[in-house]
Amino acid sequence: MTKRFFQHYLLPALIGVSALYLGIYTYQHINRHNHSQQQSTTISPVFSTQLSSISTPPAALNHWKNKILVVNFWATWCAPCKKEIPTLVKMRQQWLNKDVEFIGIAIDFPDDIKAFIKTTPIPYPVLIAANEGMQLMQLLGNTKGVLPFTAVIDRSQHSFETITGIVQTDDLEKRLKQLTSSQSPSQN
Amino acid sequence: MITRLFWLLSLLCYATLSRAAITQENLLSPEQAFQIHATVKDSQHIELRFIIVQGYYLYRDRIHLEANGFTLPSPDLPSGEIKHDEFLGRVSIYRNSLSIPLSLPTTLPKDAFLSIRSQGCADVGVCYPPYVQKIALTALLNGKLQQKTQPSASPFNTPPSSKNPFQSSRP
Repeated sequence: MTKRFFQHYLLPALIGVSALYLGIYTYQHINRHNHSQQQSTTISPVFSTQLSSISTPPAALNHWKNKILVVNFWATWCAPCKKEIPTLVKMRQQWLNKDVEFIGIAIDFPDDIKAFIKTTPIPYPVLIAANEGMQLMQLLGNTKGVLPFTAVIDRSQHSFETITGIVQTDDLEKRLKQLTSSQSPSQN
Repeated sequence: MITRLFWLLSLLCYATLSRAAITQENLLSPEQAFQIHATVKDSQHIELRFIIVQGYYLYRDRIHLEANGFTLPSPDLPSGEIKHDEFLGRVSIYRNSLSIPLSLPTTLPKDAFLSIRSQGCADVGVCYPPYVQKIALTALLNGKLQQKTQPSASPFNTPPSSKNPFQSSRP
């Protein structure tokens, strides 16, 4: 093996493969931390806080107890939030008959939400949390208060994982498959 | 040529995959990402300076200044950088830093303050809610206040019962 071959081909190739491996490891590692699994009774206000709604009576998340919940915090002033809504709408349709419900919690003003929904219909419940939203998100671990922010909550509402940023379809599907296969409604 | 391609490929692989996920730990708080410093030029002129961390940006049309206890002429905001957003269309944003000179009246009430509302996002794909910071002007002019402003209506470091930023004026 000549020095030239090592410097110009083998070394870059080794570094390239190592970087690829390190990148994959970092992605998986970060993604696992991104989905912080917690069991806590201190988050009970998240489920008991009554929130107003655009088109239905006020409700708290515990209204949907015994369903697996995908709770998506969003706002009309948040461009990435608007980007992920079509994905969530599509996934909701796919998972509805598996006892999974999607809930949108808008950290926003009702008029702005109504105007948005006119152009981008959202078939799942949309609750409004202009005043309470930040505190609810903080209880779920969103210490920086950023949007979009999504919590995937099990049927008992004692355990949840979170996603900061735009939801990736395969990522959420993996989690929902795990929850729907490990828990059946009769177990709660 | 091939050598350079290998190096570029390795850098792209790591950069792309390692940035694929966002974590709370990797994000800055809005106070860290969008710092405001107030400098006194003279008894009637101050300068607000936003220091925006790399990888973050502020929306030009979401910066609002509200005077309490006095009249403030409309600030002259620079044009900013144009960003093409899929949902917001063509928007003007600020990166790195933003300076806003302000003219104050000759006399100010003792309790005069300035509310600065701004809103920004991070390039990784998250946005922060509108954020209000307040400056007590008389104290600033008297040199009693630190030049870096203190956030007041922050939802992140105030008790849950504190005033919600959404109660301030809307853009």
